[in-house]
Amino acid sequence: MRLRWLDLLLLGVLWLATAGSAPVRAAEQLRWGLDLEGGAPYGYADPANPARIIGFERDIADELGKRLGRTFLPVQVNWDSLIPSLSRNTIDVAMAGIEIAEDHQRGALFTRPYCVYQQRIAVRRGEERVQVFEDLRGLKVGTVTSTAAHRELERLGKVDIKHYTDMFAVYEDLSIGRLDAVYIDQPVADFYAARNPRVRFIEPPRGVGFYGIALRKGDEALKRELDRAIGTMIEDGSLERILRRWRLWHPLQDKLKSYRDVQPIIRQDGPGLAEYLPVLLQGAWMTCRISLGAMVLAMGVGMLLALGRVFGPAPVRWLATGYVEIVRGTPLLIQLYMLYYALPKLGVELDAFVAGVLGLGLNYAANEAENYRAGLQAVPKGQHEACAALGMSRLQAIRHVILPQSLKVTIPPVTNDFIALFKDSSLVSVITLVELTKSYGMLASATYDYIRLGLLTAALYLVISYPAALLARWTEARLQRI
Amino acid sequence: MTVPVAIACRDLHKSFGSLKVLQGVDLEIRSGEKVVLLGPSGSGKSTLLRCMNRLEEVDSGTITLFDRPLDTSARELAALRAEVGMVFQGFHLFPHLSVLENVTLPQTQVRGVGRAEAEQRARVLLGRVGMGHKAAAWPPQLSGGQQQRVAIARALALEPRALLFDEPTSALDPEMVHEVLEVMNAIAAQGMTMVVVTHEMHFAERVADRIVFMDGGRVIEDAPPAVFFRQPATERARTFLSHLRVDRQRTETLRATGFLAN
Repeated sequence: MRLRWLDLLLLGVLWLATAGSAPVRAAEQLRWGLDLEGGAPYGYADPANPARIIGFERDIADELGKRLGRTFLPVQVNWDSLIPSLSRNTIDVAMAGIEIAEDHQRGALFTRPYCVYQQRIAVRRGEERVQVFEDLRGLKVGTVTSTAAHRELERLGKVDIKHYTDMFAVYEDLSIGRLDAVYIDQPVADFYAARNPRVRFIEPPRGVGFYGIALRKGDEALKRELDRAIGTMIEDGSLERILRRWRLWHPLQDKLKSYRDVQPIIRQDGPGLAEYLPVLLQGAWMTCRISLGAMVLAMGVGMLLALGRVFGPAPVRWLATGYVEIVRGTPLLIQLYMLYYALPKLGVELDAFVAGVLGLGLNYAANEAENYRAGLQAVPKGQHEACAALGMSRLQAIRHVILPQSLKVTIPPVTNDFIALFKDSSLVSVITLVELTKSYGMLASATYDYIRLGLLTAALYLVISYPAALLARWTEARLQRI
Repeated sequence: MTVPVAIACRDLHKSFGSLKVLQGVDLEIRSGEKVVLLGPSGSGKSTLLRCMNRLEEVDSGTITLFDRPLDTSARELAALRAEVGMVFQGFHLFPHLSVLENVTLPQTQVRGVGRAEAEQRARVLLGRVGMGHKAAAWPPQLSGGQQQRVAIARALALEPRALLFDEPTSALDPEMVHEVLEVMNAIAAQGMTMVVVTHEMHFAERVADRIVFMDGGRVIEDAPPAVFFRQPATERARTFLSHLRVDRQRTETLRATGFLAN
């Protein structure tokens, strides 16, 4: 687990270092897009020295750089965004375990492959249901979006696919029973699963795939340079040495020599709206369920916190204030990670949906508590005194006089927060939930149809949030009359 | 036979920070008595009144209401407060409730009276303060004088044994003062125990049994109005009354023009 947090920390540092603009490069530099998150053993932060990037692709990049007389300048890019980043010209090459496959070739030009890989099924020790690939039907299987493994699972059908970006977490979830199996590229599997004693592989590995370096479409000159350099590395055995060093060498790597570069015939007409819509609608439904659940929770817990903070005795006040400050002062993303990935270490295992609702709900409870508090404190002192003078108890006063009056101040910001929560719900994709934004991301990275998908997704968000905005305005207008 | 004591204050002290607001106040108010607290601003009269139902805490001294100490549990305190109604300068009606509900709510919550019975009683009380026709209105729709009359009805809803008035007409436009004073006159006529902080000298003169004059956190005169207004015993009271002459003249003018009822 420590490694995981270190990774996150490093990502943050790297992001700060590279944020804002694409790195400036000297003429001989190639901006190399890679994703350090879950990047082992391809390109990842050295646990011993997190400022250093290591991995077999790092070694290949160094060797290629020598042969080309150029240096590879690493640029952290989210894996899903690697190929679009090429056409946006923020990177020149993408080398990050990207398979030479039709849907990737729709967006990029590929060099000849530098590594042959297979897929591996991993299960918990003692799991007897899975003997062959077809046994995965009907089970919960973790994988990485838009990989060959993901496509194979989809082709198999009836698999409950869970999407992960965190390779450590996927095997953790397998070992604690959140997943029945993991089906992922063999280099990843060998690296991560091997460290998890509760996990075993179903032998033998399956399929044959090729990793290539993705380039901007039309960058034929660079492709020729790199193809030639990879060719010489294969012939003089330096590629084999690197792959052996990383334990990736196996007889199948001989296929690198005989690889025939075939430019695929790419369908000009991508999938249509009719194919997108069901996937997006399913995501939108998840978004609605998560948001509604979280909002109900946020309103309830927020009210308790606010009452505790305004009217409670000192210890309750401190606790409520502490909660609000801590939760507001830390990112929702980290809170979600903690709930889903860290709690199982303490013996509390939450279902992803429950963790998502809890994470969002408890986070927004802090905001709602502040809204309610502002409302409660906006009720004039005279109202409290009138209740006291009439002999009403504290509770009666709050319930019948103070709370109802505070709503006027409270409801507008609360409805606004609901709209914000609704959009923030996209963050739950980090704990494997496929909501609207994740659905969009999956479709987009498979089809590169960013414009139509983007508009469609935005339209869906709007269709749901606009009525909420109208409701907010309506209640606000009504409350003005009080 | 002596009349029972309604409110008894013994040696009250109270400070706001370094400011000493009450410096040893002793005061007894008997059942049925109407007492007007007079004094320059800052003399402690409003604070004294607010101590009588513990909206303010005293630093030392004791207060008893109908022989029960005010320094008691929250539950007992609430019960005692229900025996003593209070009318505020700022009315403090519940703006989210209708006029009728304002008078109903204390009955259902504090006395546990059924809704129908509470509403019926509320209508009677609103009629008594001349607000029966506004039962369905919302407080913000009413004039200040109307709001204060509703507030008085609300204070009466619990059938209190005494009423505290904290400058009930000070926030009102002059033409609305008399409608509130009339209601207060009527309540006084029915024998209610009343403690009133006010600057309405005419009301003090006519209605009060005793004038309690305060200065610097102490009671320095306690006399029937006939004595207090004609032969004040202290220099402080004389100065106070002379400063009020302008105010009195205004009252006289109002009475002369028939605007203020005799």
